[in-house]
This record gives sequence, structure tokens and C-alpha cells, in this order.
Amino acid sequence: MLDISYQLIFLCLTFIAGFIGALMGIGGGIIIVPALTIIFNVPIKEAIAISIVTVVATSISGGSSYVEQRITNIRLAIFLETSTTIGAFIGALLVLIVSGQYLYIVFALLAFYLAVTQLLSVRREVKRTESNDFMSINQDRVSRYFHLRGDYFDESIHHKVDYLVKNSILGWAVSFFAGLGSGLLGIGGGIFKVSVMNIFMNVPLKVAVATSKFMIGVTAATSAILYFVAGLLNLDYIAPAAIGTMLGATVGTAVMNKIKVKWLKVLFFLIMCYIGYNMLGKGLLLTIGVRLPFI
Amino acid sequence: MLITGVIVSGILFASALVMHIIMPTRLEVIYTLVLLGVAVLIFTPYLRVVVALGAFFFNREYKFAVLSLLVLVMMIVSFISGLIFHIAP
Repeated sequence: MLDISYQLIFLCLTFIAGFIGALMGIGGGIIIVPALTIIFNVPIKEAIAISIVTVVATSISGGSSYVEQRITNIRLAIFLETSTTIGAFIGALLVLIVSGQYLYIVFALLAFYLAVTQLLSVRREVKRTESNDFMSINQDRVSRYFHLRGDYFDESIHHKVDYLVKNSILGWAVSFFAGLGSGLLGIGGGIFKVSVMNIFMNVPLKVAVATSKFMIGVTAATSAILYFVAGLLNLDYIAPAAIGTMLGATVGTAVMNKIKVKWLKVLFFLIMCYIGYNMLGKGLLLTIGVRLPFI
Repeated sequence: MLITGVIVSGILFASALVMHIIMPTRLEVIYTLVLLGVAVLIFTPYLRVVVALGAFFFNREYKFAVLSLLVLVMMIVSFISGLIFHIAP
């Protein structure tokens, strides 16, 4: 068992991860895994297993809060969950067969692409949120069939925002890869889900964040159960990690809707760049043995 | 309902930490508490999908009931794979 002071330090770290995770609609594994491996010298596989359990914790505490605030689109979540869980399961199986070294580079490029798109879409998104202009598009047949639409009350600009969902098939397909990536690389995949919904499917950023937060619990539980039942979970770190992320997520969900969309997008850009750099570093290290700084 | 899952596992984890402070030698009690906490935590999303399935079915939104069922099937497949992996790693 860990020393109690280490447990408290770890609790503070996971609090921050839970807080940022709630703001971004991501699990926070991208913060917890490096913290565990670098600061606490935990082996990478154990770190991934611990991280995935904390993702479940933040998703159910943060996710249900957004449902109460009526930001989450549950229909959209269920629709996309069908593809992310299939992806997560196949990804977890692939880990046993192939090595993921080239996939790191593929996902790094995807992260950089989405980071730039987020930054370029700031002005348009802010304008559309403020003028409530997410309705003037043509829905495709699948989105219409599943009634994928909704509204939420934005507390930073004090009015309601309505939206229609489009490109459901494309969104479903890309979500499959988000799930695949989460199974393969041990990340929650929330960052990809939010971007898919926001950039391809005409979903306002805050709804995408809330819906992603709701979804990652299901995706993460799908892989967490595999680790748990297979007995790969190191129980020493779980208690402080779960409490820290639960508290962090609670605080994060309370402030998210009060923040301007512009700042959320900028935060998104920064985190995406960090993730892209991190994965590129790992990919280069594994494929050609080049070590980038801070990896 | 989901909140209940979070609170129950949160209490289990917190009591594990408190146990660790007041009697650090009773490791088996601490591990049992943490193990229960993790189990409650992981099964909460399962329960949530089951509840969603029921709710969609009663509201006669059958297409969403089918989607929820699909998600649940994938989650159970993963659970079974974990068992298989546990027996034959």
C-alpha cells in the first residue's frame, strides 16, 4: 500500500485531471497516465488500467450532472455509442495481436488536424452560438430518422441555443475510429468524440462536451471490465484517483456552462496540440527510436 | 440513480482511505473496500444502459431500444472476453 502523503498528492493531481476532463468532455487519462508513469514510476500497462477506471468515475459523476443541466443529447449519445463500443472492443482485441506503434503516428496527425480545425472555427462557432444559428442546415436521412436535434440554455450568453444534427453516417464511422483508438492506446477518446460532433455533425461545442462526457463512461466501462475481470488492476492507486477525479469533475461541470465558448475552444486547441505531440513522440520513439523532448 | 452509484463507490473509496489512516495494518479490509468500490463503479454504466433500454422500450421508441440493446450486447461481450482472458491469459 502507498504512503498516505503520496495518496494525498495523487488525489490533488487527479482532482485537476477530473476538472479539466469535465470542461473538455474528456476522460483525463491523458493527464493521469503520464502522472502515474513519470511521477510515481508505475508501469505503463498498470497506469492505463488505473486511468480507465478513473474515466468511468468522472464520466458518471460529470455526465449525470450535464444530464440534469439538460445539455446532454442522450439520443445522439446512444446512437454514437453503438460504434464506439464496437471500436473499443475490437481495439482491445487488436492489442493482443498487433503492435500499435504506427497507429500512434496516425492518431497524432488526426489530433493536429482537429486542433487546427478547432482554432479556425472559433469565430464562426461564437457567432453561430450568439445568433442561435445551428438550425439553418439540411439534415441527412439518418439524422432525421433518429430525430437527432436538440437545444440547451447557454449560461455565458443567457439564451437558448437550438441545433440540428447532420452527417450522422460520417460521425458514426469516425466514432468507430475514436473507439478503436481508445481500446488500442488506452485513452478515453473523448477528445475525438467532441471534435467529431462539433466539427462534422453541427453540434454546439457545449452539447458535444456534455454528450461526450456521458458516452465515455460506457466506452471506458467496456474496456475497464476487461482489465478488472482479468485481474490487471493495481488497487493501491484506485481509491485516491477515483475520489480526486469525482470531486474535480463535480467542480468542473458546475462552471463549464458559465465559460465563453471562445475560451473553451482555445483550451481545446492547446490540449489537442499536447496530445498530438505526446502521441507523435511515442510513435517516433517506437518506430525509429528518435526521442523528442518531454516524452 | 446514477448519482447513487457514484456516491456508494465514493463512500467505499473514502472509507478505504480513512481505514488506511487509522489502522494501516488491516490491509485486507482496505483492499476489500477498494475492490467493492471498483465493482460498483464499473457496473454503474451497465445499469445505466439497462435503464435507458427499459425507458426507450416503455416510451415505444423502439429504434432507440434496439440501439441501447446493441450497446449492452457489446458491453457484455467485453465482460465475457475479460473472463476468458482471466481463465486463459
